[in-house]
Amino acid sequence: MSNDIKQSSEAKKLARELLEQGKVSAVIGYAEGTLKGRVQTLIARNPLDAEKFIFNEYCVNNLAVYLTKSYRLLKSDKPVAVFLKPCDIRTVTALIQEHQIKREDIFIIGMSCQGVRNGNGLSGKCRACRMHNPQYSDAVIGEAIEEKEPEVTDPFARVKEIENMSTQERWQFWTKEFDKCIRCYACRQACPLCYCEQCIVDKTQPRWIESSAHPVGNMAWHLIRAFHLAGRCIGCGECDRVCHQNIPLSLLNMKMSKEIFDLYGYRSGVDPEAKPPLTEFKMEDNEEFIR
Amino acid sequence: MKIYKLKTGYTEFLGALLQKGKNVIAPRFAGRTLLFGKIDKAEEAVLPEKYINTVRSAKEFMFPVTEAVVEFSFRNKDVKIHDAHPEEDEKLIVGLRPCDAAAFTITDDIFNYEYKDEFYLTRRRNAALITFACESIDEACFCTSVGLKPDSIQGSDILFKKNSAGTYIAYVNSEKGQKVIDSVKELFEEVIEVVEDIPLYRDLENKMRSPLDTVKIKEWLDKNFESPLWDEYSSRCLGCGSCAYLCPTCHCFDIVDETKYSQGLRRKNWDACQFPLFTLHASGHNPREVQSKRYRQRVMHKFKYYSDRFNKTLCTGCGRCVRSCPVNLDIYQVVSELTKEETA
Amino acid sequence: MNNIYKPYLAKIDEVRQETPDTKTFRLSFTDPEEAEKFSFKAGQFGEYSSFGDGESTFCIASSPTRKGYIECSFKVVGKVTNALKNKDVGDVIGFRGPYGNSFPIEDMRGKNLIFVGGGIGLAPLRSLIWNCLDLRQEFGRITILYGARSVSDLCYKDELKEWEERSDVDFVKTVDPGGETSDWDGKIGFVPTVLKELAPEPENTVAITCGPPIMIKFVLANLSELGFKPEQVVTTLENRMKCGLGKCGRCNVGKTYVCIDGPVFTARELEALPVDF
Repeated sequence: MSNDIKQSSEAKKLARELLEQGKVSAVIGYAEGTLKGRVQTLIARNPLDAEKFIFNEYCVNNLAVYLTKSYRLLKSDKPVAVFLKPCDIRTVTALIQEHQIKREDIFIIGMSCQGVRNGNGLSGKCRACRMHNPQYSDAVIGEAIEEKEPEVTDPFARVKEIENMSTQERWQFWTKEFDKCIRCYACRQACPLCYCEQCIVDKTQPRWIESSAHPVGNMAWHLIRAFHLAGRCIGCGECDRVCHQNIPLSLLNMKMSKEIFDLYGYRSGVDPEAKPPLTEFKMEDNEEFIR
Repeated sequence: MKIYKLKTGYTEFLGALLQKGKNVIAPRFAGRTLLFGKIDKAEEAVLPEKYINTVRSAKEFMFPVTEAVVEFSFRNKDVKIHDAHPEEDEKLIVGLRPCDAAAFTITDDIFNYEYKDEFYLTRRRNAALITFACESIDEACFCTSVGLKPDSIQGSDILFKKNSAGTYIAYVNSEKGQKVIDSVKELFEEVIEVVEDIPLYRDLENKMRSPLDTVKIKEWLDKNFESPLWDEYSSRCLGCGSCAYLCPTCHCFDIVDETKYSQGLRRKNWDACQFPLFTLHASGHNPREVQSKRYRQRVMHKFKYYSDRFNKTLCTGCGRCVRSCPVNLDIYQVVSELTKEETA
Repeated sequence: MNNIYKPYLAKIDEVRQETPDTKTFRLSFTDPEEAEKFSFKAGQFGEYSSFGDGESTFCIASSPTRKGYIECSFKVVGKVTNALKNKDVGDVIGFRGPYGNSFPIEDMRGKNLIFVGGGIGLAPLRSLIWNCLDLRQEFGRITILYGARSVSDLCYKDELKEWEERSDVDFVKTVDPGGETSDWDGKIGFVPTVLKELAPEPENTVAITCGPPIMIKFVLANLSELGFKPEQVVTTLENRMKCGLGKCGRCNVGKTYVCIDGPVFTARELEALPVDF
């Protein structure tokens, strides 16, 4: 707990200084929420607002989403500062790899992180986390944390369980889950890597994905969403978290990540110099899937 | 209005209704998600004391997330169209909260004025709303801000409240409600004497977030279509439709055609003012091209436009938008802070 | 059940290519009983559908004085209009309507009228123009100012000629600078500018305008400069709509639903609306 208070006060101080010195145009961080266990986003543009910043175990949101969703913030001649947990930094790396943002436009305030909570327990993504100390940051808030073996050693354990189901069981599992989808698109909007100017689901000429929340439309939407994130999803789990219908969306993304890792040995958002595998061709690429 | 004592528990009540062949819709778990759904066995239903509210409101039983309104088929120049029909079976929606029952009295206005939407209205006529007063609340609840209470009867056909002995007392509020009671009369005993005011409900009322001043909010909105605050609040908004889709009073929709070979359906689908496509003209012009304008529309529609038109606030304080917002953009907090600002 | 979403079936009797991307359909209802019962007023609109593609909102472009058919004009921009463009004479489409209010023709009797139209914005005006011309003696002077981006973008070319030739109509046509051809005999200039030169007398006159949002904006400003009071200026809005019935929420501007409270508004009424259209 005292760690929270220390990190919060360091964060306030740094944000205030950055804004006072005019080094950044805005600071995107966390502030106290209105519900138990929830935090709000705070986009501070003046030093006074910086007093409201906090950092605690409920800071589960991946704030990198604002880098692609709020274009206006980035259109300033100064960089934007963002609070990012070590795992969130992977988003920035991936966005740089995809040429969506420039490193110099972002001031990364890396938050060292012991894991965050989603509702009652440790967030699913934290159970298998091996990244407690921020990399590639312009400033780090919090003390270095000793890296230790995570609670869950195989991040793909749940994916493997699903893989082991029979085709029919798997179909039933997903049909039942997608049946709950009402197409609010919170999964898309909360995803920091869903940044298309026009989403394929909104295209009408032709209409690739039916917009109605019926089994055909829902299945098409979620599968295509997962495919679009193959080799790109950095596993922040925001889609899972924001789905009020509790559809385990990140399982689909994890499955794609697993496939990409098995095929190309690639993990998204880890190495800023690496080329995303689906954007390049190598002679030694595995091509067993082409028949 | 008659008052009855339920001689059994909730599950037995549902069991008796099912035994009579009634179509019972009640909160039950779909996976980990508490949703209204058709109950085949009384035990599937979650006891009212076990939940605050369902994730989705009951609006989908009058205004489904997607429904066919016209059927058509075509072959060359020959086109045939048919009416699609809303299901006409009677439904008993049991275990809903006073905020959700009251919501229908608000959306009735829009679907029932000038042009009558018989898809909504048929289902509405055929559904009995059997409400259970709240036994717990959370920090998101704010129904007292919009004239409701944990035990409001507005919109309910029957309202069940628990007395201090833990017995359910049924307040019949309509003929439809009376019919439901009559169908399982053996479970009920009419109460003649004055029923006690139950302290639980007053406690919940007092524990709730302090009531908003909707008159003051409207006054502020009347003057502040243009305000830098819209930008400030909406900059956090991710532009998803969670708030609108889970809202029991949001009623905007889209109409789309879907075909398979030479047959098709024209569908009415939920839609939300938070999506940029909602107002995009074919010409490319978009009156609400940025999120701040879309967020403003949402707040204005709830607390100003709807009351300008129908003299009602388009909100029941159920708190679903607050609970579901990915970034905790809390409409209660927003409107209460807005009104603190000096009007321009 | 009275299904408010169920369209009439309407047969395309005639197709006219107005401009490279604009077409006009003449439609008649396939059910003679429905055709008999149907009536509308100038300024009203409908939801036209290509089955399988969806519905689109256009005004009724023909005059209520011309019975037995309705006409609509549309520019090919989206999914539905792209599907409609491929329809031919004899094809059947859907029509729901008429919806919305109408031009206040009762208030226009005995007055001078000036119509100011731009591009396909002439369509709703055309309904009223023919309505007034068919009852010519009931109105004072009738002036029509019509312009488009270029000569090829002018709609209803035959009718423009007819208005030009009529002695009881003052007709002025213009194209935006650069949009003229070598044989163009009209004016060259933007509609609001030409309107200013024309300087119609506000006395006992009603101005009716429709066109692209930017044109309307300047026309309203110039009319006001010319001394027109906001009550004397009438326009029609074209918000995005789906239901046309005041339900779906799309055309909501303030407490107003453009589909049932509009689409026709006086400039005075527009002043009272939030700028959300």
